[in-house]
Amino acid sequence: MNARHRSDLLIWLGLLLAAALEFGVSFLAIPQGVRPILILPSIGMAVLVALGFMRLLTAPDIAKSFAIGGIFWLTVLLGLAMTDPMTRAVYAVIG
Amino acid sequence: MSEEVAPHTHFQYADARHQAETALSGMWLFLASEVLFFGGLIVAWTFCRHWQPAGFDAGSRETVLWIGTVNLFLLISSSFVYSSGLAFMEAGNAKRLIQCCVATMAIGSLFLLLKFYEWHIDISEHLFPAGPFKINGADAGGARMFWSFYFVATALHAAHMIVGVGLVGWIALQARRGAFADGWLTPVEVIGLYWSFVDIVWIVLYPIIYLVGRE
Repeated sequence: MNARHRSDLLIWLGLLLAAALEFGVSFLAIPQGVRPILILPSIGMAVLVALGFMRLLTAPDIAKSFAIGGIFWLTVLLGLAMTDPMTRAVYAVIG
Repeated sequence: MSEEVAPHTHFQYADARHQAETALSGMWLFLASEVLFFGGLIVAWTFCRHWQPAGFDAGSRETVLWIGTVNLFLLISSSFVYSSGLAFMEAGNAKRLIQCCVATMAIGSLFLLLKFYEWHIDISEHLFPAGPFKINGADAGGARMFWSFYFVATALHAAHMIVGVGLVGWIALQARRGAFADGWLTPVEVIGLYWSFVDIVWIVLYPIIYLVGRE
């Protein structure tokens, strides 16, 4: 077993642990409004897969820039899309 | 022809490394576009849940949690198996790469079989958003929106999985023919990127489909 195999094995175990944690925490009595925090472990897992199995750190520089660009535009997409529901005041219709 | 190029290296590249970096970067660019493609789905989920949280969560509570969870562990393991195959091939062991590809395909196929079975359960319980629907009352509209999101998201992911299983099979076939014997591993790496990305998509879809709406 070489260093690459050991690294893959550790990443796999970390992912299994994070998945089990996410699953277990979902059974706790978390208020409905706060439950989207259950997505946080999955973001960590996605980063782990990208850095570990996809070897992003050793990828060519331009590939790294594409990866960062994808995250940047995703942030813009989600951020701008949510400005409407986060800022709109809903008034009751009278009559 | 005056220029000498290494096997597998096309004339427009300076050397094999240049070609490999271009192929890897090309796949990363494609995956960045896929991030935005699936990002639209995340926007739909966020937007719809924001306006109809009760109905959306009522829909989410009807999902088959055990299948989604088993599938999460299956996909995580499949990425590990494929990555191990690449590590074996880097050490010159093509036989192990083929075994890892076959195992990856088997895990991917099991994921798809479970997903088809889950759809069968969902549809037989009248959770398809068109036609007679299981959830009635004030939450029905939000629940229908959730199940529209669910079927679109899982179908798109399954389509990517089917493509991935085919690509991994192609890698196994190429390895069997000895295509990677001279250390040219770019296709193995590029397909690995795609497979791990499909894994990431499920890692993100899992909590928003199965966990957030559950009580």
